[in-house]
Amino acid sequence: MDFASFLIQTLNSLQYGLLLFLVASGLTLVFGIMGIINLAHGSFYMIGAYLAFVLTSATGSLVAAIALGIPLALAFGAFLEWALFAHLYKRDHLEQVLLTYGLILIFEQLRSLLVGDDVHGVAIPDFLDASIQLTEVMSYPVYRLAISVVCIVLAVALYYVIQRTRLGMMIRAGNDDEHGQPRADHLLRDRGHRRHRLGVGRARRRADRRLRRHLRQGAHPRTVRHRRVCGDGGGPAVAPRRHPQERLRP
Amino acid sequence: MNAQASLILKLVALALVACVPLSGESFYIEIVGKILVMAIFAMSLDLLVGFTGLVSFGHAAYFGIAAYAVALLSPEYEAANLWLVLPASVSLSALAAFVIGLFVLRTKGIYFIMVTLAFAQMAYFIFHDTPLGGGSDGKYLNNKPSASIFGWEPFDLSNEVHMFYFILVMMVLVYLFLARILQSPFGRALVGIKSNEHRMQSLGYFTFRYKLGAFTLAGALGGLAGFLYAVLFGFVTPELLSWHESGNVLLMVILGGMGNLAGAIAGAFAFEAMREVFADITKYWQLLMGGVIVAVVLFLPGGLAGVPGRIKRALQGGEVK
Repeated sequence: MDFASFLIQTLNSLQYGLLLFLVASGLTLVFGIMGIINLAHGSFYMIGAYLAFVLTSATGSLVAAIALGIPLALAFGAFLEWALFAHLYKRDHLEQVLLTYGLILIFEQLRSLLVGDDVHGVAIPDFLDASIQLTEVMSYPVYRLAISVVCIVLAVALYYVIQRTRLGMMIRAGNDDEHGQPRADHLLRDRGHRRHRLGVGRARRRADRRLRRHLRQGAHPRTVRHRRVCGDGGGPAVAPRRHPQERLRP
Repeated sequence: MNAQASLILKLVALALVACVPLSGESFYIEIVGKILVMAIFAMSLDLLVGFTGLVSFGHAAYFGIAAYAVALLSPEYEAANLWLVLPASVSLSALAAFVIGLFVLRTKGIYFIMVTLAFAQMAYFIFHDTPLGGGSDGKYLNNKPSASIFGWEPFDLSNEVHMFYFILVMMVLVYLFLARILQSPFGRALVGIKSNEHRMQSLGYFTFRYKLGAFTLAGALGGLAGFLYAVLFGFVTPELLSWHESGNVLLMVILGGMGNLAGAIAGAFAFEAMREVFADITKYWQLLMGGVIVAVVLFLPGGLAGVPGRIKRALQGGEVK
């Protein structure tokens, strides 16, 4: 294989990997944070692709299709959460598996009923419809590079939202700790602010502040409660958690 | 539901199934025979999923290994002896489950699901990509095993009615065997492992050995189902080991209600019957089936096994949980 085709293959795999990353990042939120095993996640990928096709055909422009498609996809996800997943949070994981398997069948068949079983393509907008000449015979489409850039931008934005914003902190705090309890629960229940977990007002802001402090310090919330019960009022709430290796050092 | 009513219900259902060959339609006999085979398969998986708490996503491997074993062990142009080839195929499945279990049982939860799937895929590609079992074309079983014992032949498996009753008897035996096992100290330990493995360990149980025993036993019974499947249809393909098959049997167990042997049988019946009936009604059978599955999860927590209890509570005017 010469260098140009190697480069093309590398770009292709990189671009496909980035797409898969986007799909997987959605699944890790659903499974990791919400605790729902969603077998139908691939169906959402399919629905997005078909939305792009249908809306592009209807409006004649991919940009308009994206602008319309994102709110539609959000509304669809919210509807499914309200209608189905909201009833499943406390159920056995395997019942979630069964339900989402049923969803796969339904989506697959609805797709076949509504759009048909033919293979479709989406027209590439003019400003991306070009290719970069690599050698005399080989070239690489600009559109694929643009997709990779979009994926990278989304990945960075996702990282920023999850790691650096208050919303992301709330999401991370919903993640289960090693005892299977949401981390946020310890802190919020601790002061009887449980009702305000998603509410507004002072109580939430206070809880937020504490949450942020503890997440920053890497402290386990249970330790905080333990200290309080023991009457340890003064000083910082907890010392930063040590790495286990540290203790072994002489 | 009290034990007596439950027993009567089960016996009536058994009698109804036993009447199927009276219809004389070989189509129905074969379909119901296949469902009974899947019922054995689902019960074997329920031992792991419903009673031991081990969600295996690679159970089709043992089904397929025994199916291939009977096709490969039988001579090309004459019938094998049932009493040799049946134990041989089932033992091969049990051996495979034992060896795989040694590895996969070191993991837990979602990782257990992934690792069992990985081993099943390995088994799938061994049969799919090597000349061992005829590659992706599969292999024919030209002659069904003969049941002769020193020249005396109690039944003939190439007769579809005999085959049907052979499968039915096997299913009842597997049911009784598993029900008995679950009453034994071994079975109680398995249920204990499901609810709290750490506590069982602190009580002094070597839970790994118990889980390995359950895994091997489930593999052997899954192998029995695979053996019956191969003999019933007379051919084997690598698709018997594919993850779709593992997924289908898992869905049967969940649909029927985990941790209930009769539920596993009901789940197998409901799942296969829905496929046949809906595919008969419309080209869009998946839509109906998906709708029914979603409705079952939303409105029948605990699966089909919970239905008799609900009916009873409704009749007595009690509160439905």
